[in-house]
Amino acid sequence: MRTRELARVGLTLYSETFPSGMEAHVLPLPGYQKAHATLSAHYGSLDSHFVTPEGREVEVPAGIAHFLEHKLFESKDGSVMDRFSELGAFSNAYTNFTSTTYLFSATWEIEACLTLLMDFVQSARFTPESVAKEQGIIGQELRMYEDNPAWRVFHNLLEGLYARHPVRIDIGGTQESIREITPELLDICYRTFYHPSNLVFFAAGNLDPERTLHIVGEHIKGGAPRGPIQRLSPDEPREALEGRKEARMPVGVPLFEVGWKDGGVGGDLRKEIATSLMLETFIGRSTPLYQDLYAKGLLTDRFAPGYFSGPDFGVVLMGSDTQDVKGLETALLKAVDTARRSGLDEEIFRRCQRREIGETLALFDDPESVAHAFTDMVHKGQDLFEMLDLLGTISMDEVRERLSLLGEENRTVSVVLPREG
Amino acid sequence: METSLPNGVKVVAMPTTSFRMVTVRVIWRLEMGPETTAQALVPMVLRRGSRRLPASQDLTAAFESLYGASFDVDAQKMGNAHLLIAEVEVPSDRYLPEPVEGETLKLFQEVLTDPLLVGGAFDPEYIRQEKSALRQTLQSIVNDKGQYAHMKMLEAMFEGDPYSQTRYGTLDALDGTDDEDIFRAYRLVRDEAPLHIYAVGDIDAERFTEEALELFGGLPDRRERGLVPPHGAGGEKVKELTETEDVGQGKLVLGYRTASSVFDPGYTALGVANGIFGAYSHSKLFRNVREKASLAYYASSRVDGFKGLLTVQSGIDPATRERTLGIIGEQLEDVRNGKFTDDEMAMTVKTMENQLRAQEDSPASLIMTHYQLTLAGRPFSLPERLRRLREITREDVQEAARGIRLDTVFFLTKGEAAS
Repeated sequence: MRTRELARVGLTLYSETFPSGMEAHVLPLPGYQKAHATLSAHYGSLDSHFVTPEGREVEVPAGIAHFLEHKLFESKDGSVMDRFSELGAFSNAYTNFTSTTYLFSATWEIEACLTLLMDFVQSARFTPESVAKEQGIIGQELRMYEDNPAWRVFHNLLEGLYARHPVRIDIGGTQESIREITPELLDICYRTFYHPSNLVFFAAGNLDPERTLHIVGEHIKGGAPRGPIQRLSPDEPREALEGRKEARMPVGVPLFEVGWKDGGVGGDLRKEIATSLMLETFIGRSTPLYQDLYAKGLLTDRFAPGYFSGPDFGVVLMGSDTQDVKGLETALLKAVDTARRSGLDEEIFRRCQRREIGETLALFDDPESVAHAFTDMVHKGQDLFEMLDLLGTISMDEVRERLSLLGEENRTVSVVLPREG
Repeated sequence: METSLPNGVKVVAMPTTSFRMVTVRVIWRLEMGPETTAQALVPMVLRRGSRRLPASQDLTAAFESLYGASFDVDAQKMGNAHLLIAEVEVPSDRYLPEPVEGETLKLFQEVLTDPLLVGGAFDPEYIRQEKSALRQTLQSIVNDKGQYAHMKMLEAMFEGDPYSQTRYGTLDALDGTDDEDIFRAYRLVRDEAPLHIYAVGDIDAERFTEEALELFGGLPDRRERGLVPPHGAGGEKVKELTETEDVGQGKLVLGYRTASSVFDPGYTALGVANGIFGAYSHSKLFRNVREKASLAYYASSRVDGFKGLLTVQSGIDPATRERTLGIIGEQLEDVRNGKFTDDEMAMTVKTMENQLRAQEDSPASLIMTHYQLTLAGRPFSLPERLRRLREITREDVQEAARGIRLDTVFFLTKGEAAS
């Protein structure tokens, strides 16, 4: 067991790498009632083209990682969620572009919950009946998103930015693609991506680190570590596929989003933080730009800029609902040009740095948030616990350099307008 | 530590070393009514500028310089009470190179009690901007179809009752709200509204209370007023409403009246009945509507204990309305008739116990739980609440379920958009 003192937050992290290749980390939070634990597979919606452990190259239908997540909740003893409820625990899971994460939170029976989490993620059973049933449920889940303009404006943005990269396809897949999913295909994905070498355990809260790591170690199935999985990704041009995407939906207020793509920052956390700080310094709450656009009624406090990235993609995006799509677009893009020519304000940068420090400290007060941030970063090769150390050392030059991301050729504007007539 | 200042302001300091952040939240309580919109606008306008820092940008910058993770204002409905809330979250001094706690509380107080005034009134420009932002917020509710369907159900179920409004009021009310209305609402907030000040985190409770006395002790006297338990029986006949829109998924929202509310002892049993019926993933609704019939991705119920209201919501294929309604009705009937296993009961009680304990881990839940329980006249002590929960019997659950009566069904479904 390795320990690491996190002096800035007054906590200690306990870690272990098991012989099977699985990594586990425990962050005890003194004073907490709750333990929040996650077991996360480095397997998301992007991984639709890969090489199986037997050396066969396969392409699987879109949405299968998410489908598989749903199916793991069915065990030979019935619903896994019910088993957690019997222990008085809350359980859930989520799939994103790069990972699938299973979680529980409990204030007691934590050891039994840990065992259950380890066991259910590491066993699978797919039958044609249960696959058919899930198609109905996920079909409604996708419909729910399809009717959601915020989802549409975001999804269209990615479709406009990317020509070939699978980030352009929705995490849940499509009504058609989920119909192509079979027990055999689920099995191939499961055998490829759920080996312990490809899983990371993280827990925070009311936990005994030694005991927790011991239970995790005892319940790992599968022997020797495996090498990295070969994931195949198409070549993506640097330019956006389309400059503009427009959709019409029954909305009360139009939605606007603009995005810029790059190749991502991979494991480079400094660069990731610099990108966030660049966005905050450019258009955060206390900038004259934000204040001006707010005063003109072009945006509301639902406007938030962000950068999200994976192993080989990255997107800056910003937007919100707005009564004046044209006005917001014009003002924003003009401000981008100005910033690229004359740079950013150093005083605002220092202030944003302070706020980021406050926000990062706040993460550690919430077991869910810290677990979420950790798993999100670990699959990219980034280390959450370096954040606070790095934040104060990022220079204005590094931040300024990231402005070059906001170009013209790599940009897409996505809008959702009300129905005509 | 709970203190009532001489002017009636309540100060509640909850010292704990669990958190790295210090959360300070103030809650004013008003009534839902014709002035809801004007009231909701008060904290939004206050946040824009104070006498010392009139420019919005300077005020925001001041909080950011204090490592402020957040500085938020909002309004909430708690039954027919209208809560105005302002909150700031800053790191505890011990995690920073320089102390900021004292500065923060002062700045916060300044924003809340020493606003920017122009000729004795709020700055009309800030009012104009905040009204426009709020208008957009209300207009964008329809962007989220689930939220929209919920709003429409409440409008129908509580026609003529101010609870039918959103926590920001209505668009019509907004159009009729002028600068004077907002300033009048502000005077009510400043001079009369019961006010609670909470602080949670690594603080010295006595020092915080003293500081609160110094900063808020000069406010006019105010009296705590009791809350009125919900009344209004609803009609004999179930109201059924359908609206069509260009959507792929239908949104079904059901409104039920409950016989018990937070103000009476039967409320704990209602919580358990709601848990067996629909609140969790082991509940009858999730199991039968989703897992068994494969009709929906979500199907759940929740209770507003201050209003005596239970709602059920689900997103379904438009063609399956009748079937889904049938299944929902059967599940409630089963709870009433005691058709639930000991296992279902035990899972629900355990899950609720877990939730009660987990509230201690979140400053926001700690504050709101304390606030609500105190006003409802219920004990805040966790062991006492756990004890009451464990005492609930199957008969208590059935009785609570028998007091749940369907009032309104709203369905947003696929079709020609209504003009």
